[in-house]
Amino acid sequence: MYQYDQYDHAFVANRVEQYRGQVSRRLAGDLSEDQFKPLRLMNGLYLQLHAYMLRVAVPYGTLSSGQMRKLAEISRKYDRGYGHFTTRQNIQFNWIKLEQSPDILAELASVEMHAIQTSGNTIRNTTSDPFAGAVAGEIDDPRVWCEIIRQWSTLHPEFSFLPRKFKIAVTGSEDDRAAIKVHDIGLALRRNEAGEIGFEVLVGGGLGRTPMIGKTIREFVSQRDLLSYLEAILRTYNLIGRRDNKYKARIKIMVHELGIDEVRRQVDAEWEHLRNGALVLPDEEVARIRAFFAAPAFETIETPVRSYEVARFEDQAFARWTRTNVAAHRQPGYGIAVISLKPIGGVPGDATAEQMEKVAELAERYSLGEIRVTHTQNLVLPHVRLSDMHSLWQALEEAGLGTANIGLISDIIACPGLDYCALANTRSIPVAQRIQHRVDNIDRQHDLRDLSVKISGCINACGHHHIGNIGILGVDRRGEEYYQITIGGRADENARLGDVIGPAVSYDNVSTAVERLLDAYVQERKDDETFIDTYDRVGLKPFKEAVYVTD
Amino acid sequence: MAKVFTANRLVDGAVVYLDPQGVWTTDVLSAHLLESDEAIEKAEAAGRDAVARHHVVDAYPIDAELRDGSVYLTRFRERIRAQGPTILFGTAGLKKKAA
Repeated sequence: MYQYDQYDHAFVANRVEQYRGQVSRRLAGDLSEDQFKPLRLMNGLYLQLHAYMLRVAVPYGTLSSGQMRKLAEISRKYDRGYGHFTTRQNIQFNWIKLEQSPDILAELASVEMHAIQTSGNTIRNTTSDPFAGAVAGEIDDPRVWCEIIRQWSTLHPEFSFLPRKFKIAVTGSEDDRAAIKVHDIGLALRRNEAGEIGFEVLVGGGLGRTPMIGKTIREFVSQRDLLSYLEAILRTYNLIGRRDNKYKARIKIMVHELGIDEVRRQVDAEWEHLRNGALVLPDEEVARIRAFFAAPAFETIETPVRSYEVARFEDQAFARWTRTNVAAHRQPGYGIAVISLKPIGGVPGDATAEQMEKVAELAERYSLGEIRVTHTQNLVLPHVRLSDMHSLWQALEEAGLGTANIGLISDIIACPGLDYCALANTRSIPVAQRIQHRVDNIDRQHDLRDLSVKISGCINACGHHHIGNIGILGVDRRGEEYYQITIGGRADENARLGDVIGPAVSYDNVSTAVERLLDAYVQERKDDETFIDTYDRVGLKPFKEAVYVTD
Repeated sequence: MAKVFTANRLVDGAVVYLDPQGVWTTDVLSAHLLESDEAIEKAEAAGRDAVARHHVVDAYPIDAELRDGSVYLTRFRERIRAQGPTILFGTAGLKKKAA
C-alpha cells in the first residue's frame, strides 16, 4: 500500500488544523452558514436528513487492517457504532456532530486517511478494481496509476472549481469490475503492438438524470503521457463545460453536445501545449510509486490444495460460498475472498464497528493485512491461502458476514435513499430488503444465477439503477413512493443502460413486480442462460407482459 | 394549510422544531402548529433570527395538521426526518436478523 511521506503527513495535519479553526469560528458565530458550507464540504461534511454525514475517502478502495480498525473506532466513538460503504469505494458516517468533526479528521490523519475531495466540484476519489494486484491476467496493477492520479489531482489548483464533480475509474483487467464506462473518465490499461503499457481513455460516461456510456477518446495513451493527457481533458472541460445549468454541467453533456470527434480535436490541441512539459511522468517516479504496490511475498503452494477441496466436498454451505464469494488469484494456492455486506434483510453496505474489527482481524490473520472496498458495497480480502479459506468462512459466518450471494440477486446495490438522504424522493433500503426477503432461499438465489439489482431513491442514480440487470428508480407521485423499473442494464466491460419496462409501480408492488420478472426469466431461459442473456435473446416483451399482467 | 417551522441544530445537525415558547425542540409533538398567516410570519422571523444567531441552519416551514389531537406532518419526507430511518440500523439491525 502507499505510505505517506513527511510531506503528506504535514499536508493532511495542516489541513485538519485549518478545518479545526474554521469549525471553531463557525461555532463562535464568526462565519455564517453560507461562508462555512463550502469549507465543510471540502472536508467531506454534508448536512443530511437527520444529522451531519461525513464521507471519508478510501483511495481506490484499498484499506489496511489498521485503517479499518480506526474506522470502527470512529464509528463507535463519534457515531452510532456502524458505517456505510458506498458505491464510490468510500465510507460514510451518518450521525456526526459538527463540533466533533475536527477530532474525527485528526483521528483519520493518524492512519493516513482524510475526507478531502469527497464533495464539491473537484476530482473525486479515483476508483478501481477491488481485485487489483490479486487477480490473474492483469495488464498492470491499476492502483499504481490511481495513486499517481490521486497525487496529481489532490488540491490541483486549476481543478478545484470545475463546472461539476469529476470521477475517474481505472481497470487493469479485461473484466471490468470498476464500471469505467460510467465515469467522467474511464481508463483501461492496455498493451500496444510494441508491448508497451498504456491506457485506452474513455470520456463522458455517467449516470444521474442523463445517463451516458463513455466513449473512447484515444485508443492508447502511453504511461509518460497519462497526466498531460488527463490535464488536457480536464482543462478543455473546465473551459467549455457548462456552468449555466447544474444539470448540464457534467462532461458527459459536453461530449454529447459537441460530439466525441470535436472534443478529441479540442483536447488534442490543448495536449500539444502540455505533452512535453512538466507533466511528463518520469520512469523513476513511476517506479517509486510502483514499489508501494509490489506483490507480497506469496508462498509457493502445491495445487490443488487438498484441504480446501476436502472442505468443499464435506461442507456444502462452504462450497456454495466459494462458488460465489471466492475468485481466482494470480498466485497458485491463493484465492480472493469477497465478504458480503448484503445479508438478507440488512442494509446494503452497512457494517457495524464489531464487524469492521472482525474484518480487520481476519485480514491480519488470513490476507496479509489488506482489505478492499468494492463499488458494489462489499469488502474483499485479496490474498487468502486456499488452505485458510474454510476457517475464514467459519469466522465470517459467526460475525454475520458469511452470506454466499456475491453477484446474485440479493447482492443489491441501494443508495441510502429517503431514510438518510436529503436529496432522495423515495426510500431504497426497505425496497432492497423486501426483494431480498422474496428470494431468501439461498438455493433459489443460486439457481437464478448472476443477476444484479440496483436501486436509487432519486434521479441522481447513486444506486446505479441504469446499469442494473434490474434497475429500480424511486419517483415521487403526489407524495407517494413509486418505482420505475428498467431491465437489461449492465455494469461490466459491455456496459449498457437498461430499458424502462412500463409505468412505475407503487412501493407495495415493487417486490411483486421483481418476482414476476424472475418468473418470466425462469420460464424463458435456456440451458445456463443468465437473466441478461435471456433478456438479450427474447427482448423486453415477455418481461413486460409478466409485470403488467392483469390479475 | 397549517405549518410547523423546522431546522437543523448547528452543533450536531439534529432536526429541531419551533415550539410555542419560541424554543427549538427535537420533539415534533411539542412543535407549534401555526394556523394563521400572522403566526407563520412570526415563526419565519424567529427562524431568521436563530439562523443569524447561529443556533440553527436551514430553517423552513413544513405542512402540518392536527390529527387525533397531535401535530401530524403531512409530507412523508418530513415524517421520516422527524422519526428517523424507517429501517433498523447498526447493531439493532443485526439483533433483529439474529432473532
